[in-house]
Amino acid sequence: MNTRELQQAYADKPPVTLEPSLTIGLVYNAAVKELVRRKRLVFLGMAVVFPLVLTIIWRVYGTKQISPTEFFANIGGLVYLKALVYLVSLFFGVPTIHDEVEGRTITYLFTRPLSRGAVYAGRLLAVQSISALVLTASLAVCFLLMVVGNSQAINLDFVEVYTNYFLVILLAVFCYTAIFAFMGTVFKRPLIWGILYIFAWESTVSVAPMRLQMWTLEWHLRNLIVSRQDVQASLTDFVRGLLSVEYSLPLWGSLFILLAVVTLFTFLGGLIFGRKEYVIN
Amino acid sequence: MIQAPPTAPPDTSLVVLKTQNLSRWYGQVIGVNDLTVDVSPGVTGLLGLNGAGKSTLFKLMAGQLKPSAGVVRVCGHDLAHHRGLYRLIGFLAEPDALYESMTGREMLVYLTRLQGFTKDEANERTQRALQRTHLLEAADRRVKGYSKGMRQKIKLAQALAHDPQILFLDEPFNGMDPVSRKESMDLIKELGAEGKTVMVSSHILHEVEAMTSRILLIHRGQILADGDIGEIRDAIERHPHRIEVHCESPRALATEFIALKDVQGLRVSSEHSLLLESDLPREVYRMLPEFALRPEMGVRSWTTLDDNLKSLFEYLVEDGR
Repeated sequence: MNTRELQQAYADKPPVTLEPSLTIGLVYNAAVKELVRRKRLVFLGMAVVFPLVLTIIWRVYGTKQISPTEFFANIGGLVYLKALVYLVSLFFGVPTIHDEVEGRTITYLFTRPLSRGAVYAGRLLAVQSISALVLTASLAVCFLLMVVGNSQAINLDFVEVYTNYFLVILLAVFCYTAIFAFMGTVFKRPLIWGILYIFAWESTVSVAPMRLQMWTLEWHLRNLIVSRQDVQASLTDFVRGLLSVEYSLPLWGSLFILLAVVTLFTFLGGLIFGRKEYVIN
Repeated sequence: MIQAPPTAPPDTSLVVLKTQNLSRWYGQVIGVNDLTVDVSPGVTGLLGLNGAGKSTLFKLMAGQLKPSAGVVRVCGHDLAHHRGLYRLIGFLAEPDALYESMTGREMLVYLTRLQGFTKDEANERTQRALQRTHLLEAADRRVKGYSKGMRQKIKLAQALAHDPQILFLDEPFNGMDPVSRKESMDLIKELGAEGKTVMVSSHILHEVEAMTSRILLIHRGQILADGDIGEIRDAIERHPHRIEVHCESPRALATEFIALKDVQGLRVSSEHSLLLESDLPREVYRMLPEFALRPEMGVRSWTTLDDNLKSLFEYLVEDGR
C-alpha cells in the first residue's frame, strides 16, 4: 500500500492500538528477560540466602531448643516479612517504569501503537513474578533444609504454618511492588520515598497506638497469619504489649484490603503512566 | 521568512504530516514557536544549529511531547488521540538509549512485535532491517558491546523494520564513520524514493544536501526557510561572500584584486593572509587558481568563511529584519 492509499484507508478510521493482552504478554516477556540479566538479581539473590544460613545454624545447633514450627514462624515473620519482602519489593518495584525512563528506552515503547496502561501492567507483572520467584525459591530451599533428614519436622502444624507464611509473603510482595512501582512512576526520587514509606510509615505506624496501626499493610499481613502466638517477641511486639490495645479485623477483611491496595495502586500507576509526559533529553 | 516552492518529492500533492501553530515552551524557554508546516512524501531535511529546536519539533511530531499550543496531524488525525497511528511512524530519537542486555536481533524482534507483527513476520522484518542497515554480522551480539556507529544503525533499523510510511530521524549520523554515513544516507534516499515521508535532522548542511534538496531551516524554534536548498543558497548569494586567502604576499595579491569591480572589500588580516569580500565570488574563485600559479604571490590555500550553517542563519535572520 502506498502513502496515498494508506491515507485514504485511514481517512475516517485511523489504525487501532495493539490488543492489551498481547501488549502485556510481549512487554512481560521482555521485562522478565531483562530483569534476569540484571546485577540487581544477584544482589537480592545473596540477600535471600540469609534465612537459609539461619536455617542451617538451626539444623546444626537449635533443633532441640526450638521446634520446627516455632522456628519457621519466627523466620517467616521477622526475616521474610519484616526485611526481605521490603528489600525485594523495593529494589524490583521502584524501577518498574523508572528503569525505562532513566535508560531513556521509554521512547521505543511510546512510539509503538500500544496502550500505556498495558505496558505498565506488563512490566509490573514481570517485576512481581521475579520478586515472587526470588522469595519463593528461598522459602522452598528453607523448607527443604528444614525437613530433609528431619522427619520430626513434618507434621500438620508445621505444614500449616509454612503454607500460611508462604501465601502471606506472596501477597505481601504483590502489594508492596504495586506501591513501589507506583512511586517509581510518580516521584523523581522514588527510592527515597520508598525507604521513607518503609521506615516512617510501615515500621513506625504499625506500632502506633489506637486504630492508626490498621492503616499499615504490615498490620493486615500479620492479621492473615494464623499462628501469630508462635512469633518471638520483637521490638514491635514489645511496644504493642506496652500499649496493650489489640484491634481485630476478620481475616477476609484484611485480605480484601490488601487486594484492594494492589488493584488501586496498579490502576493509579497505569493511569498516571498513561497521562504523564516524560521529557527525555 | 523565505518561502520557496518545494522540489518534487514522490507525491507532493499529499500532505502526510501537518503542524498548525505548533508551540512548545519549557517554562520561560521557547522550544518551538508557532510553527505551521506541511510535510509531503520524500526526504525533507530539518536543518538547524544545536539548540535550534529540531529535537523538540521531532518529539512533538512523534507525539513524545504535548504541544503548549497548536496541533500535529498525521494523515489528518491528531496523534495524541490515535495511538494506533504509530503503526505508520518510525522514530529515531537522538539520545543514545538502547536495551543494553539484549542482542541487536532480540531488540529489533521485540520492538517489531510491538508493532503488531507475529513472531515469524517480526523475524523476517528484523532480518531485512539488519540487511538494509548493514548490521547482520553484529546482530547476535549484545547491544552494550556495540560501537557508537553500530548503535546509531540499530536505532535506524528499529525505526524502519515495520516499514513505516513516516520516518523521523533525529541526527541519525552522529558517531558514524564515513562509510556508514554514506550507506545510511543512501538508505534514506532510497526510502524517500520509495515514497516514504522521511524527515531527517542535522546541523551539517552538506549532509542534508547529499540526501535532499527540500529543507526546513529552523532557528530559535521558528521556521526560517522552507523550500528548495537552491533557493536558499540564492538568498545567500545576495550577501557579500568572505574569502580568506593564505599567501606569502597578501599586499601584492590585494593589488591584483583591487581592480576587480566585484570585490567590495580587502583587508590584510595577518602577515600571511588576505580577507576578501565579494558580491560575485565566482569571479574571485575563477581568478584564485591563476594567482596560485604565480610563484611571487605564494598562494597556499583559500577558505570560504561563509560556507557554513551558522553564516547561513545569520544571513537569513538579517533578511527577516
